[in-house]
Amino acid sequence: MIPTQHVLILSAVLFTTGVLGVMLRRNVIVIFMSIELMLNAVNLSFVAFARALDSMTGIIFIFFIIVVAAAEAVVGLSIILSIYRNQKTLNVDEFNWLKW
Amino acid sequence: MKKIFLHWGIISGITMFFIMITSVCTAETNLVTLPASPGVGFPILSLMVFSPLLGLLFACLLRNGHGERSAGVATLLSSFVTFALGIYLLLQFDLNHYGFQFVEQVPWIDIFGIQYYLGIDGISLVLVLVAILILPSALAATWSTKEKSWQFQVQTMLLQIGILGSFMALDAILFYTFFEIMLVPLYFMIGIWGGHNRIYATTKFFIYTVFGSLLLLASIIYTGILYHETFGVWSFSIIDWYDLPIPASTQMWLFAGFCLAFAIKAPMFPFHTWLPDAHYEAPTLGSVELAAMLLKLGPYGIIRFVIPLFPDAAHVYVPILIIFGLIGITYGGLVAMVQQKLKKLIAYSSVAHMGYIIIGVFVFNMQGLAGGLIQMINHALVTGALFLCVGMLYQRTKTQEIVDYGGVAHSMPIFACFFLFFSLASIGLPGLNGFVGELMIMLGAARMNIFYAIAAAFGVVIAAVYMLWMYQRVIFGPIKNDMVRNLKDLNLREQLVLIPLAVFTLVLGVYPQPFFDHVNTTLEGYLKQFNAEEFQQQHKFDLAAYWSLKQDK
Amino acid sequence: MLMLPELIVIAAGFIILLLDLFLAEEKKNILGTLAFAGLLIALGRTLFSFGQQGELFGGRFVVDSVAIWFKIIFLLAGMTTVALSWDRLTGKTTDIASRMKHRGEFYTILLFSTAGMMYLISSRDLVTLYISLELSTIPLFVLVAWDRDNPLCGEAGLKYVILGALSSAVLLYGLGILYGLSGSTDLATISQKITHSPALWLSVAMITAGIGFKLTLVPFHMWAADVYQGAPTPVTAHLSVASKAAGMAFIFLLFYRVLGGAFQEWNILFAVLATITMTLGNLVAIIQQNIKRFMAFSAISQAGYLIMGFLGPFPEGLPSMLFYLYAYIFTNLVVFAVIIFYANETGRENIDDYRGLSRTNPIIAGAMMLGLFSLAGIPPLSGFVGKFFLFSVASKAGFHWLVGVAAINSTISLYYYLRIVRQMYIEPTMEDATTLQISPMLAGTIAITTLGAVFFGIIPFFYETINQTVAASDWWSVITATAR
Repeated sequence: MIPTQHVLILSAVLFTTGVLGVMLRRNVIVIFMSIELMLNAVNLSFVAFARALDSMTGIIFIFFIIVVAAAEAVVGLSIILSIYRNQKTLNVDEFNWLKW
Repeated sequence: MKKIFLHWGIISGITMFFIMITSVCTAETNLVTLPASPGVGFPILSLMVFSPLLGLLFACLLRNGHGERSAGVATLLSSFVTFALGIYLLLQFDLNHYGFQFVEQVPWIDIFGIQYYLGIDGISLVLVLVAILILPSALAATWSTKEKSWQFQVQTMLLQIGILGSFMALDAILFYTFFEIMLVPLYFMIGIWGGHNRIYATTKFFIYTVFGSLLLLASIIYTGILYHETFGVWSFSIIDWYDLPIPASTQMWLFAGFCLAFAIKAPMFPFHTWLPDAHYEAPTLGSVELAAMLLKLGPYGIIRFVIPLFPDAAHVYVPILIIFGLIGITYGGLVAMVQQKLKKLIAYSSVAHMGYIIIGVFVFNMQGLAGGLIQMINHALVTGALFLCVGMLYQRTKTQEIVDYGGVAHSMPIFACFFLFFSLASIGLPGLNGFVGELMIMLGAARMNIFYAIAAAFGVVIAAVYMLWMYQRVIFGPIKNDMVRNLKDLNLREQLVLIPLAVFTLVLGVYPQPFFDHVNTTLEGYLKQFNAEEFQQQHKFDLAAYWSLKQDK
Repeated sequence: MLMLPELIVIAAGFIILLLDLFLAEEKKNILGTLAFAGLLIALGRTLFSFGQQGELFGGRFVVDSVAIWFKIIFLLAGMTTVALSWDRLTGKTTDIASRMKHRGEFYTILLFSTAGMMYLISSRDLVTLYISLELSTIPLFVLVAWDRDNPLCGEAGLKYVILGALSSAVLLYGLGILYGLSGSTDLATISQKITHSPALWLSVAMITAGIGFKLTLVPFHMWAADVYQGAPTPVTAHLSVASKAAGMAFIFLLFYRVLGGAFQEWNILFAVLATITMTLGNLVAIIQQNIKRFMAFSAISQAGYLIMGFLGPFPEGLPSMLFYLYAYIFTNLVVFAVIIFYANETGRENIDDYRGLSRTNPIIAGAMMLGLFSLAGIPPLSGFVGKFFLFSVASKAGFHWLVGVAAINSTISLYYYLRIVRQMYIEPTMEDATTLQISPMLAGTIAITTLGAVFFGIIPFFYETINQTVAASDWWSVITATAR
């Protein structure tokens, strides 16, 4: 059986990868994928904790997280779509009308 | 003509009605009064503080369709109402009672033990009386200027509420509230009706004073917390705070916080830079109220809060503060000497006068304190009157530059008389009130250290130089230009404004005993409260002993 | 019956969604009325539930007085947003560009977001806490990007959705660790089982970062200025009050209550966050030209004051924080109502455009001035009393330096609030300025919020009530008492 720590480390690595993706990638779709990666990393940690603690609450939490992630993706992608219709670009560096 | 009478009748009728209603209402709510303190059957202090609201209300109501004069009439009448209440207060005041009188105490924010707590003693009484005298004078003096719009009247009334409230408040948070309320009308007075560079002046004034007062707020909160920790109950009442033992190290910080706020307000020497700008840009009424009343809150706050609450820290800081006061006297005088503009010159003379008051307050003896107090009154009357005079001149000529004048005495002889009278009072000519105050402060200072008195005396010489030189350049000499030649002398209204001020100046100079009767009991009790004599001894610089020591060597 | 206010709000949302399908365009005015009525009925029901205390779903949903006070905030904010967006959605504004479309969906989404916030403060479980937080946040993404033909609006929406999703993922990671450490998602259990460990620190840091986004705490505030500027102004107003209050509710549940026992030594974290938040917000606000951006930085600095209420778990802390929240909401809404009014009529959003407003529209300028002075903390307005409470809390917790910093910051903030007052009162009137007509809806909003901003400070009734009700029925005190 894989020790809990290893799963947690994998989850942390995936989470960090997601954060780096959000910060470094320039395409909005890829950024969204990175956020999904972060949420899935969280799911993984919940699974690990649920197994280690032998409790079902963590598993139930995951279902809700998946639903929320889907809702977030729906809203995010529709905003991206409407902005693409206007601007014909998905590069975040070009969204710079607002700045101080 | 009938219409005007109708208006006046309506105004005074409704005024009386409102006074009756408010007095009944507040008397009902005013449940928790101290039985020991003497007073009258109704909450006279609240009535006084909020009587300017009447003027405010009617100025708003009468703003349209009645001309601007009716707003002015309303505010003037309401200031007379305040004045009448003040006279009644003076008559009812118990001269032999030490402590606060006419106390009104109603809970306000119970969670933190904050109260609506008003009361006066001799110190606040005289300041309140000056405040209610100065306002109608200033209103009447600026009667025909452009500042008569109803908005300006509203600001004036708000300012008066703030001033009266600060002098009467016995709860630190209530004091702070009134203290801050004053800033807003003054900001607008300078900002809207001010001179050319008004935005700079008003912003500087506002930021300076708000910085000081927020430090004051932080210190008040700290003291309140300290009270809570010591006694287990919340109280922001100053009288309760007097019993609070504060560790000496904490006192040092709190003293600095409180004192900075009041030093900015006073203004004491290094923090005075906002004053000349604000005075120069302010309209006449703003200058008068600023000089006469607002600056007094600095020394008043020091007397009321700083010294009784933090005596140990005062012990340490006193020499520094007195030195600052001395620098203020000399520096203010020297800078006033080279000013090219009338109002700036008087503003710097204010800095010098406030230096005297600071010294008087911090020498911790009867002479100094009484002198400081009477000097506060003198400064209010005389500098207020000087600003009114300059305002009257400015209204005719639209120039502040001293070089534009010369020979005004030929065209305005009555004005020249009044101006001379107040200039001499400002210098401290014996027989006028300035002399009494400065003499007593110097006596008090001499009891502590003779060199303080000598240094302060030099200030009088400087004052004579800059005032008389200015007077000579403006009033005497040949008529320089047509502007001066065509000047009209003071009319009856302007004379009627200046005469009472002149009478009080003279009376206080010749026979100041009634003034001392009113403050004596309070001051004696006040000094006993924190062992001033012992204090005095520790700081005393004994010249004879010093000399004998030198000779022994 | 305990959940009735939430159910009313959700039901109103669904009814509006359905009616929107069938109603003809000219009859859609009724949708706004419905939304307002739904919120009003829910508010009435909430007000009448004071004194009732109870729980549903095995303690997952709890109503106590603190929850009721927060729910009143959310409902009031929702109602004000309906009122503020009325003219834009019905197309009655003089400035055509500021009109908004799709009002049926707008109200539905607004109501769902409000319901999410109301569930949030009643949640007593990590799962419901997270779900209700997302229910309140995801609709806001949509609201921010409402005007989809406007590139600024789309960009604001995009930035908000990306950073919002990122922050919620970070928050979730923190919650996951909390679950792993305590083995439970129930808040009461967590508070008993939690012990000090480095992992707890990590969890707290993650949660702070995630919720700092909603509260616009520096350094998680980057989105605020862009989103506030780009979003339709009524939505900006809603964000600045309701979203912030929701963040406060979340952080209150988790840090003030659950981790409160272990939390004493972490006060320094909040003190430092408060310091940098208010300082940076204030300093950057000075140089702003657009009034919505300006209000964004003002809101950031206000968040710095708000979290000072968390510095101590003694009895004054919670009422002080609640009172300042109310004071802040009323005052901020005054200012935003005036901004919306001015933008509706003229389409102008720069600070310089307010020149001479006191001469063309004196009453509105007066209301704006009172609002700004209350934000700056001039007594006796409510902002001052609120600040006084919070300063007292910080001082009592031993953070005297923080009170000094906050005092200096208030001076700075006064300087930039005065900029607007100066434009309105002192600068010469604009050449083309005329007296503008105000719609009854906006006039009523401005009047009510101004009255609130002024009288909450003077009349002690309000905070006395907060204090008494909070002391009388508090879920947490019951829980801790039974634990002992």
